[in-house]
Amino acid sequence: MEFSALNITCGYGKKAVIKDFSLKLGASEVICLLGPNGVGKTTVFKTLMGFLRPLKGTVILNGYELREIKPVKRARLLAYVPQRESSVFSFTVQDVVLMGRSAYFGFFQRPSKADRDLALSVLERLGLSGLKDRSFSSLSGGERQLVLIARALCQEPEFLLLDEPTSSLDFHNQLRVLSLIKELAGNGLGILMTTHMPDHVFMCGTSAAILGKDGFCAIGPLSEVMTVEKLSRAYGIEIKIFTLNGNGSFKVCRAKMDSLAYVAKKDGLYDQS
Amino acid sequence: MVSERFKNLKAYPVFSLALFGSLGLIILFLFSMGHGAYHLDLSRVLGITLNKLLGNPTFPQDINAEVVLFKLRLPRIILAILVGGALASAGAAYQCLFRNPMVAPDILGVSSGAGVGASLAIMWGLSSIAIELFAFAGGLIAVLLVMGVTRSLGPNRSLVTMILVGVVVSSLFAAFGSLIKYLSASTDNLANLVLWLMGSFAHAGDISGVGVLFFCSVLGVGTLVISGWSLNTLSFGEEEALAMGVDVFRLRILVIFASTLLTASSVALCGLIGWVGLIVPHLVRFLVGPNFTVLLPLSYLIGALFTLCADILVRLLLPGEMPVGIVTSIIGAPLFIYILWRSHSAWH
Repeated sequence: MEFSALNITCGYGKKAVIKDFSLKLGASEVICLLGPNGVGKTTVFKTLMGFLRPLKGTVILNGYELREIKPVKRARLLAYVPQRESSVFSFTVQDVVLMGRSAYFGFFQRPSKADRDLALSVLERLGLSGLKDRSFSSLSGGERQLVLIARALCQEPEFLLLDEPTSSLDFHNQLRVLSLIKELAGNGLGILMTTHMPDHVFMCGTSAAILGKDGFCAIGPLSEVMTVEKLSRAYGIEIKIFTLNGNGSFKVCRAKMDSLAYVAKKDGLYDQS
Repeated sequence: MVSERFKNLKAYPVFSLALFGSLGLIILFLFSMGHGAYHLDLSRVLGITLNKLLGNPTFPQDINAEVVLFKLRLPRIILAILVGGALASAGAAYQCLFRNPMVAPDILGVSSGAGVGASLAIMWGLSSIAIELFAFAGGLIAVLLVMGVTRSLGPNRSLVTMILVGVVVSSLFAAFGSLIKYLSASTDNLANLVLWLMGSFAHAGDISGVGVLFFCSVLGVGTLVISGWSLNTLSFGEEEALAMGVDVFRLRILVIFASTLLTASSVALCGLIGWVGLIVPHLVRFLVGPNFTVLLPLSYLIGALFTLCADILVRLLLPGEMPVGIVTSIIGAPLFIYILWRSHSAWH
């Protein structure tokens, strides 16, 4: 099983946002996609999900071109966890998760007892059983994110694409989602996620992709990509990486307040200061 | 004791609504059969009906009563039920499809589009099948126009945008409707056209029309029933529905076809009967939640109840034939404001 993008150029209409982007995602891998706002992460994501056609290049899922695979078949291989504030209609959590089974019970049919049981067992696995009769719109941001992950897991996919799964969550829920992602990858799922926090890449990523302005792009293992130079270049600030030693060691990224001025000076924007 | 039972019923809103809705419909049906200029007691209504069904020769024949019951009242009641159910189902489907609790056949301009189509056919004196087809074409043009304009305005528009576009398209078609009325002012058709456009169940005597509406209802509601679960996924947006494996393109075509057919076939027969498609799905969703597989049948039931109620009021309040569209609007507007109060800002 492999999900890959080969030299894709993505964008809307004729305007290319990202050029010649390639990526390969296998089982148990977690690739984190980093980059500043407006660089085209969402566009890449939509292209990989098949919502947008690549302007050039191809997206390949298990040996077939993505857009040649029917939606029903694709949904059984590739699931999507969107960023979502709320929904227009307030479905119960149970119904939302059950929608993940749509690819199995078919267009004209309804969920069977087995589908319902599976949805409940996924909720239980994620510790969300208590929420099953609550209305989706009444949930907190963290709960909502977990419910959407549960919905995606109901599709029993091989690959999971998460769009900024931690972006609006508190510290506790960020960790809850990240550890879940790590656990799912441990069970064989191939995962691609976007994030704004380089620290999260160190916490659960096996590889990273950094997109920067003016076409900068770096993809590879953490040791090659998550470097001071590349991160600083992509974000346009001076970033430092520290290794914290305690109970095991882990890396964090930090940037000082004056690093903004520092880079601006280097670019020659503030000559006098 | 009684209040405890009531609480139990509250715990099963779907069952309660189905039960009380059906009971209400049966009671109103019987009441409507007996009431009118030619009054008949319930026992006589039942007696004559049984006699007709069983063909009991010993029961004294009552030709006048039979004609009133089976040639006048029954078709009219069936028409009211079919139209209310069709409009409410179409409203529920449009709301689900466009992820917008504020849209309805009349707000999207489908009703006025269908009205213009039907008016053209009536002006030209075409057959009833042609009136249906013209109405369907008019409704389809209106809904596609609203979708196209809304889409061309950009992807991240608020819920209000589609409603505004609907208002614009609706008034455009209303203007065409007036033009047709103006053009046919010199002919005998004008009075017919004007009365029909205000919405009425009075032309039920044309039994073939009721048959056509029944056929369209089965086709339309059937299509909506079988695509019910897929429609739920659409409330999370097209992309998410697609990611969940739903063939969004096919779903949209089916739902637009079905809801427009339901609206147009009602309009072609009974003119513009407003508000049913907006408030009934709202009310039902408020009571039982947004799951379309439950929302659709209950909207049909409550929609039928609503128009049957309105038709009874028409016959009770004023002598002669007041258009039922006036009554649905007079009940509908304040009822809708009440629902908005109760549901606060949360859309159910």
